[in-house]
Amino acid sequence: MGELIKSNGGALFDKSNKPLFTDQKMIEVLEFWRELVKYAPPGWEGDGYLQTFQNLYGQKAAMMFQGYGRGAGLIEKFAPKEMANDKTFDVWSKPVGPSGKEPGVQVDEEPWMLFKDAKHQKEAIEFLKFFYQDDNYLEYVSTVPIHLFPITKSLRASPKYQNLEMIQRWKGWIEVQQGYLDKDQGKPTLVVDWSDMTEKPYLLEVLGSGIVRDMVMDVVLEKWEPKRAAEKAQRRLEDLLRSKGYLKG
Amino acid sequence: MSRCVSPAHRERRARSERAVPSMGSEPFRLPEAAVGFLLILPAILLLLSLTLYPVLYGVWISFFNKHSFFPQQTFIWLDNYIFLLRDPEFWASVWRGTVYALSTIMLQIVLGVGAALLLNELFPGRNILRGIVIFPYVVPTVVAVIVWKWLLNSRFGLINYLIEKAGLVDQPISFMGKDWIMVSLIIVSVWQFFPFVVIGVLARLQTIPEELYDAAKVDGGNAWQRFVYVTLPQLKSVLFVIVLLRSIWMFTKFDTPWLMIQGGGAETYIRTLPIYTYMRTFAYYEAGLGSAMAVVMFLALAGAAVLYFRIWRREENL
Repeated sequence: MGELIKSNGGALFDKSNKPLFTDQKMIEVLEFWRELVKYAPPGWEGDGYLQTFQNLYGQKAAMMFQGYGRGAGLIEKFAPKEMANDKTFDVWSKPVGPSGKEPGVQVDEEPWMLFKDAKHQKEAIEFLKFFYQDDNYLEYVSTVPIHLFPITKSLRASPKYQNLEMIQRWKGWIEVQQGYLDKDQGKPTLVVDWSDMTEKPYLLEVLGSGIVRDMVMDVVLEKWEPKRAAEKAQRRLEDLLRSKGYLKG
Repeated sequence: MSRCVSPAHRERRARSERAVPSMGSEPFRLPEAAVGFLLILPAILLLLSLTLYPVLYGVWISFFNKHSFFPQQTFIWLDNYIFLLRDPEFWASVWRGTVYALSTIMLQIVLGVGAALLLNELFPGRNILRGIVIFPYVVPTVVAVIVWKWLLNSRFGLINYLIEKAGLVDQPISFMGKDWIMVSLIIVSVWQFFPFVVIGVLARLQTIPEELYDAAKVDGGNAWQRFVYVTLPQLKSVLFVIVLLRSIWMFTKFDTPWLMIQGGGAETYIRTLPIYTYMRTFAYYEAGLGSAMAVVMFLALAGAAVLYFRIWRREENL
């Protein structure tokens, strides 16, 4: 939802942490969902992320709306060998909404946490430096299929990385991802602007609460008007943020 | 009660009693009740610390606005409970939980009693079948749910394949979709837990005196009448306990629905009260509200149990 609202020129929360779910831009996103679901197979809502990929590489579905680099790993593992490449499974550009100018893209993060009270902090930092040296990181990247895209620019540019068989097979995917990153269009889950990372510490609670998903399901499964579903989500989010002290009044 | 004691033993005892010097007062001895109390004290402490304390702490934090992991908390009196009264999601989850619990209990009882009656008859391979029937109950929930999700898969599942082959449907049924997911959950749960009923009822069936059936036959009772007038009354006490336990367990069941809803948009349709309580606590990080929901669940169950006891004990003289 973060990437779609970004693609439609909107945001999820304003500076005072007030949810913007009844905004016209969100209504347009919900209308897009409603339209999109017309082309989904019956019972699509019973499929999770992995099942959706299963339908794709199991040749039951022609396309899926949203997938990430890790999908290449699933395809490599389960699809017939001759099909496991970017010629069979191509990537399209992300859509741009009627009120937007450029696409937004959700990227998977690779977070490491160093706790301030942890013992051996220096050693942990040394470990990370060691881990991210090109040769060591390459080992990791090349053995973890979901880890298609390295976070260091030096490894991305390295011929050793570029020449990996898997990277060769999925070059088209790599280029699309690289393009989004070059244009600064990739953000973590529900992050619309980089400032959200520090100013909106509640995004994971919002994600975990399922409120956003419920809103979409109210529209596409319960056939609610987008405005009604958005108003319900707005109320629930306001309650959530108020109870945590992020939203005043 | 008298004991046979040898003369030598009697002599030794008399000598030892004479040898004890008189001190003018009895030696200090703890009263018997105190000794008993000290002996059960470790068990009491264990129960208090592992059961009562967490429960009371849960009740206590239900009066707070408390983050699940951070130490900050604010006392808000009954606000969490007032919020629940006005929260449509809460009431929807209560409704879903009730539908789930009642349907599964009813079907478990019917299927369990039926299977137990069958397994109580004499036929070749009975012992093997008795072992097989218990199998679903011993399979880990995670394994059971994974297998069932595969069986029920709309595009690759065996059940859809078979019913399509048999010409029963034109299109595969989306068992994990909006319209079927509750039914699927009920099927999986009944399959998983009906052996509990079988074990209890079968054990009781084996202790019903054969003479009762003989007498019923002499009175001209057919198979159905023997079941209604002999078997069922004899099963009352065991069914009383089974219904009580299964009601508590099914109303608070978490693992099976949780594993069924992993991924997929139909999650909302089986979001029962335990699931919503977990979400409030560990996804919204609202430990106070989560505790309030757990307290409500506990009170509802306790109330229902008391009511159940009163009605049944009075009516059935159990």
